[in-house]
Amino acid sequence: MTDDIDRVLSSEPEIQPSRAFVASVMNAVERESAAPPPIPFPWLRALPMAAVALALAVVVVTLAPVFSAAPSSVPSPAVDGFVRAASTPAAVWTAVGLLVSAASAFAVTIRARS
Amino acid sequence: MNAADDLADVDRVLAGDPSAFEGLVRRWQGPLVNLAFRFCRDRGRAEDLAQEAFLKAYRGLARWRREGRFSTWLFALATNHYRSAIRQIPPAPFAFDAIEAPAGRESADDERDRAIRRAVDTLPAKYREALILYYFEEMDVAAAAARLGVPEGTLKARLARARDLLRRKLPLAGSAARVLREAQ
Repeated sequence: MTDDIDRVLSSEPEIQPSRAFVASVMNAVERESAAPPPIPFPWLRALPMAAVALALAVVVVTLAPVFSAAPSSVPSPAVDGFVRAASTPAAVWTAVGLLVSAASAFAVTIRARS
Repeated sequence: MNAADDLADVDRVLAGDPSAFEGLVRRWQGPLVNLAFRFCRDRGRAEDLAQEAFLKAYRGLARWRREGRFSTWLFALATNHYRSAIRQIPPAPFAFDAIEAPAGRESADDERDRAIRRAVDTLPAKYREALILYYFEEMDVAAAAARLGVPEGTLKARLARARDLLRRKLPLAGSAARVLREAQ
């Protein structure tokens, strides 16, 4: 049996690529080379916005326990719900995760440019 | 196949001459299409897969570190592409290319060979890939293991398991073929 398998699989028929194969590949290569390069993400423009968003997130997470400890200072049920949600451990971890992701993406971009 | 020619063509492509890629395609089209054919058993799909592999190589040419031969890098890239493509869309159990001659005119040996190939096609991916690359590399365990990115011991174990599975499958495949032939 092993001999049969060896014989059959080591004597696979060779196929010849079609005549149009090279032309087809080179057409695809030419299309690829003619295409404009992908537009890089505008990190320099996005960075200030991201920094502001992160600062807001940090402020909310930091102040959330203060607001939730003083119910009379909460102006509306909607804000109260938001503050309670922001003060949960899951929200804190989400904020930390976003912060680490943003820092990592920024570091990669800076390294790629240097 | 001259590694220096490959290197010269790669340098020209990276210098901004995409037409130099044609030399690489001409030199390696046969092996790449044949390797793809062993994975999918369909000539048309084999050419599609090989073309995609060449295009991936073109896009990633600057990432080739030149630590080994260009062909080694190209084949590793193509093998990975074929493996993932075949896992996403497995080949049809009876590819059109496999239908060559009326069953009545086949000798018992032809029938047995075809049964073996079909049985290989039905193996789980990791055993099938091990067999395909082992025989494509002319039974060189080290080369096939490197191509799959596994230790040699792992490849040997997969080959042994693949043969074991084939031994179990083939009596069934043979009897199924006989039943089909008698029904015609």
